[in-house]
Amino acid sequence: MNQAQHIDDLVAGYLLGALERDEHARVDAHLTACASCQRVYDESRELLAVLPADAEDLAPRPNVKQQLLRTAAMETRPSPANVTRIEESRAWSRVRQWAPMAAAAAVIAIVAGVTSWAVILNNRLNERDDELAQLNQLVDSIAASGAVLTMEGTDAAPDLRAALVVPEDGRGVVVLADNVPAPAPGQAYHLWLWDGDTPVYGGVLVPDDNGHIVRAVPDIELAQFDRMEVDAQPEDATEPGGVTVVGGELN
Amino acid sequence: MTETQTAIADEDLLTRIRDRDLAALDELYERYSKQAFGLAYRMLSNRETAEEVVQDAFLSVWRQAETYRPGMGRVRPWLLSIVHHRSIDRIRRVRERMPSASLDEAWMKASPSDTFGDAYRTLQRDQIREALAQLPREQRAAIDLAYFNGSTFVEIAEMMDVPVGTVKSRVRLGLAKLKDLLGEALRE
Repeated sequence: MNQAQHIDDLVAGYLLGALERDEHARVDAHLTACASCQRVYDESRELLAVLPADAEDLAPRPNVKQQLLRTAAMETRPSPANVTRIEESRAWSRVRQWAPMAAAAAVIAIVAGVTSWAVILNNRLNERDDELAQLNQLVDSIAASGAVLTMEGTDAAPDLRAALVVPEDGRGVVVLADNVPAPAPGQAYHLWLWDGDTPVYGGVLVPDDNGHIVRAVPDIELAQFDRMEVDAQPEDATEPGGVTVVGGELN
Repeated sequence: MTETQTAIADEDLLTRIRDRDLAALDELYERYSKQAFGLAYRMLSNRETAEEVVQDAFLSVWRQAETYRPGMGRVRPWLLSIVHHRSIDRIRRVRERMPSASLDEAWMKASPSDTFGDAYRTLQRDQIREALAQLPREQRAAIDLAYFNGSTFVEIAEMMDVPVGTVKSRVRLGLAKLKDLLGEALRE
């Protein structure tokens, strides 16, 4: 088989994520063994890297930078050298220990909640068919993964129900919440994750007009944290201390 | 400032970001947030989602700066590749298609040169756009749909009502043509 010719047609699609799964895996394997196709890969990557030039520069709103810097400032990540495999294993074992107990109720609740989520989402169906599909897929994955933690609101928001969802690969967390009251003017909901006594900022959570929150927080590992809280306080808050609307232990 | 000086300064910013220097993150954001947001908005057509992608991308840089190696190439293409992949993630989540979680890995796959973003660094935006405008329409459309729309080759084939193999060829030939055109622009 003329492998180089065959893979030539696939390399750009590989970089673009435009291939089918089996093709992607085939290119992945092929590139490690074929110097000729690695050159095609290098060339294609260079060429694709110029394409953003075709998009117009646009300024994001100022609050994007403010929130970025606030989140970065609040993070007190240990250096990689201080993160041991033992700590990771212990943290994950907490999740694993929790999962069988909480997952039974939580997953059942979430699976049963597929219908209610679908009902909620159906309210926006006319405008957001695609998002419905996305969220239904997400709920399916939640049920499959079992890595779900549910929480109830505090007295400040007694009807609030929240779920933290950890993808199967353990990276990132998805925050789902329902019955979230609109924040007071000038206030916002802030997500805080606690590593011992150290708070790490998870970002602003914005409920929609129906009191729902769906927020993905990528690039964190929930297993590294002991506790989470969502509090209501001024939009430019830099540390926890507002009125907690939901929170709880993660282990 | 010349491109070379910018590249050196960008790498210096990454070093400072690795040392948790917020001012360096601020400076990197000032330099590239408009390009990053422009790309995300072009792909997602939604301001709020595009802003989330930009914020996530810069946070990824903040959190993963230690993974950046000078030999990987220039900072801007690296950052914009993160924006592109995060945008595709959003598009794919909506469309229930193949997840793009492996895209970051695909773009950083070890290769002999192991750098990117260097070959065309001296080209101006107008030169790149002029080259893109010279591509045959069907090749340009296939590339645009794959890159900016996040469409898979199968989806593009359905949209264009052509075999998947034709889409693959159009993208490959389009990139080959683009390489020639950009090469000419570099020699001018």
